[in-house]
Amino acid sequence: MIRRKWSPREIALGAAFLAALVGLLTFYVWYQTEAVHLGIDTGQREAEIKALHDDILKLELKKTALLTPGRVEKIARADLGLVDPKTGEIIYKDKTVSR
Amino acid sequence: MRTFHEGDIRKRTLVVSFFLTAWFAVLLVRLVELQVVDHAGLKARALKQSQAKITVRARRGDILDRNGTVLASSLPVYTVKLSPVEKETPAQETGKVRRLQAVLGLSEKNVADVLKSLKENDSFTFVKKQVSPELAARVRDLRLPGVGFDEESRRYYPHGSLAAHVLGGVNADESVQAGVESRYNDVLKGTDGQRITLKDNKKRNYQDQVTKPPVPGRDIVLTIHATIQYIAERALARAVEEHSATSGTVIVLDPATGDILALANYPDYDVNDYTESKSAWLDRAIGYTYEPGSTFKIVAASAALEKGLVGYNELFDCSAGFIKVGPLIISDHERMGVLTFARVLIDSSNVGTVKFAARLAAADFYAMIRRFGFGGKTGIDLPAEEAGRIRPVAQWNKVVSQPHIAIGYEVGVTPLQILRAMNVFAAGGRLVRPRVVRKSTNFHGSPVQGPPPDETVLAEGLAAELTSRVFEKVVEDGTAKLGRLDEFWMAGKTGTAQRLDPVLKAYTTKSHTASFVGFVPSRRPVLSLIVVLDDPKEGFYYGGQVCAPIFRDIARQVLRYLGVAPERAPAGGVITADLQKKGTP
Repeated sequence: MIRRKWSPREIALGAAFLAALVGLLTFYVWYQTEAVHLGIDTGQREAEIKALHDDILKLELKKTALLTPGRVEKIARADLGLVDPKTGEIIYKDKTVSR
Repeated sequence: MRTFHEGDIRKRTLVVSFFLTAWFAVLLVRLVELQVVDHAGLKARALKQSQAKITVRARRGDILDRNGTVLASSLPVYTVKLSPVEKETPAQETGKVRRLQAVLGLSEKNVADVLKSLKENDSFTFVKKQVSPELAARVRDLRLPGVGFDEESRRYYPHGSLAAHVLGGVNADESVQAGVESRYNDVLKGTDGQRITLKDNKKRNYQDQVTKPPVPGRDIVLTIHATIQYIAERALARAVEEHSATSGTVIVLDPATGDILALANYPDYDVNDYTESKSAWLDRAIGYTYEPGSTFKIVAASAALEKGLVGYNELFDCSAGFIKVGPLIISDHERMGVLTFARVLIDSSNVGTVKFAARLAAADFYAMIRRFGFGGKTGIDLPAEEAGRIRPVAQWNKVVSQPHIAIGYEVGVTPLQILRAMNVFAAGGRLVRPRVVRKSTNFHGSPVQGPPPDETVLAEGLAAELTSRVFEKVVEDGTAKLGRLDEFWMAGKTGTAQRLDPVLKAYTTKSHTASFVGFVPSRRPVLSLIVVLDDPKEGFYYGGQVCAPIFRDIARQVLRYLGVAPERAPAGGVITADLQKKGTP
């Protein structure tokens, strides 16, 4: 049995085909890996954004807790020495009532 | 040199081909087994490993006061759980749990429970619930295999006990129990969503897909004013302590709209520790009935005047200090002599009240009681409201009941019912429906149905006349003198009722319910207010002695806070912005 000799053109075509196949596979693998990495990155960023939103919410609630009337009154009276005004010391803006 | 013949080559080719074919056959069989026979099970296993269906909890709506101050909000928290890891030795498991213990502060019992669960190969076990995001991040940084997290949320009340009975409270899993949290749960809770997460071999999420977006709960704006609520709670707590009372209630109402500006009960509780505060859960303002005593005289007086059975200057002899009604002796707190009808109410004479109430037909009296809203719920948008106890006329004792009811016994009312009834005089004869939620919308964004229109109980003129001729004088020189405000005209009625001794099944002179209900300024009302104290001691127990001064203190502070200019010039005079500008050089 005698093997037929490959022509240079056939060898070149085969090599090109093989190279294209390897290139395509490499691109596919790279694309898939990159997509997963991007997905992981996006997930991490989204988690960070959520954590920041949660922090904002928490800080807003902390601010509300710090401004609770009982605490403000305690600071006003005990730390700053403020007292209730006497009747004649109050300046009324007008006679309208706002709630 | 050995030469290969065609036959040798063919033989070797056949051998190689046979082994290759056998190898492929084995592969094919395995492939069929994996792809066809075990397909469903393996696919499910693969999806379980790479995909997770996660419930996205809808954020519960906030509860705000009428000015937008947050009274209740939800913050995210995590539940840390642990699943067994294949080929992990007991020593490795113990080491892992000890590392979790160090971060999460687990007790030895928790550690033992978790290790026991791992040993029994449970699919997972909860390590700790309600873990803050910071702590959860620290656990995540440990990168321990088998550790997972469930995101949940925790209700947080930044003002602690403020408006506790209005807000109610929730359990750890945000299942609702009381107050606005319960009544408006459908509006607040929202609808949970779902997402699918794809994970890589290191269990990192690389793709999230929301399959059903969560619908967050809607916010609710209350009629409660946080500062007025604080003023009421502080005054109530001081009064309960000062008079060694067992409990108390203060309600502040906007007379025109029925908006509850403050609703305070003592004892109260920190809403953040709702489940630990069972003894203080009762909302006495709406869920507790009592015999009101003299504050109920407003009903008999209104009925008698409307029917034209009595005049303001008509005289009643109260000089004996008592009156015998069948087997009952009804007495005054002191002998009062001969009093006009107005004075009977101003000085709160039981004898005089029994005498003018005797002129009323029982059916007319009962009708007026019902018109004032007693014996039925006020319709306030809070759960667990009591309707009170008003027996129909057919069940009345023919001799005793009418005089007894006229002075506020044999009936069960809530503090809110009494306040609402007194508010009829502040609202020009209208019976308003109290409410605690100012604004809310349902899931479709349309407003929750509002209350029905107010009912008219009395003619406006009659209400105004009773106010100016009787209820103002109760404060100016009657039983509530101690509650007088220098700057404003006030109107009100005191009440002091003996309490029923549950052992003796008789009224006792040793225990009382003291109350004062009224509105201020009486001629253009801004606030209606009731103060009730149960079993005050320390020598004082009359409503005028105990509750009227609390009313005065709350009213003074709230009116100042709201910037209501005084009606009467106090000793120091009144300064307005206009005057100040003119007076400044």
